[in-house]
Amino acid sequence: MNYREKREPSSPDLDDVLGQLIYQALSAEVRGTEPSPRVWKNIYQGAIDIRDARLDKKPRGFSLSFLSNLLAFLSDENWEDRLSRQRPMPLWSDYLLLVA
Amino acid sequence: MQALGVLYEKYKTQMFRTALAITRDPGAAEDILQEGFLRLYANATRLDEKRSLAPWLYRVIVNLSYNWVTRRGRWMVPLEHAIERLRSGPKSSPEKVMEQSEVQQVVQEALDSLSFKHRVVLMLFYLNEFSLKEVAYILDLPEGTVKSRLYYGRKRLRACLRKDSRVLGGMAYELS
Repeated sequence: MNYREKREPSSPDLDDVLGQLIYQALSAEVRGTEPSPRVWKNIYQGAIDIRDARLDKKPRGFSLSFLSNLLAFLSDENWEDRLSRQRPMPLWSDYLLLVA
Repeated sequence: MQALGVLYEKYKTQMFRTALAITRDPGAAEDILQEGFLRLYANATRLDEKRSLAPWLYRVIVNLSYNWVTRRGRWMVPLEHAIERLRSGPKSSPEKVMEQSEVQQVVQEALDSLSFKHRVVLMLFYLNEFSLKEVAYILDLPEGTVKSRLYYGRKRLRACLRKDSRVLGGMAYELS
């Protein structure tokens, strides 16, 4: 039985050798490479555009938050006091006088 | 915006090299890097602060690279890249001499012959040194599938290297 036959195809040593070869081959393709400064300039400008687009989309005037604030305000008010202050209720006796 | 700049400085090189290793096109790798960071900015509020950013970013970069490769409809070394290699002639620095070595070239060609799904698993596992679990997250695959692709990728690579007569005797001997 020679050396070749003795080696188990799935032995960890063999995978290590193969792994090293793969690493060397792949890393040789990218070693020392860096993106150009242009990329960051484009990202920066793109991020500003995204931010501005978001600001433009913000609702103006009527909004749900406005509605919920209004409802909260109204529910806190004492309706009877508020209405009586604005429009005094006629007395029943005055009404009867009008009918008669 | 400042935070984006800090993250860019931290991750730009590894993300760029990942995209480059997949696409083999520096221009495409830069476009992918740019798109990846703009997606990060656009989705910043939706990301889970408790989790590491790197796997999410790798997932975006790998997906964008995959889309690019699919759109180009090929998984071969671009022609212009091959021409450039021929034009550049013999390289002088020890590092480049090593790059040119025959074994390395054979391995690169063997890697090129693999399908995208096998090559990308080998790349993330060996070049980026991710664990199986991390590769599974990045590729959005079950860990078992990653393991199986790694196994078949290595197996096919071994077969390719065995067939190639340029592989040095000792190396071929070990790989068979």
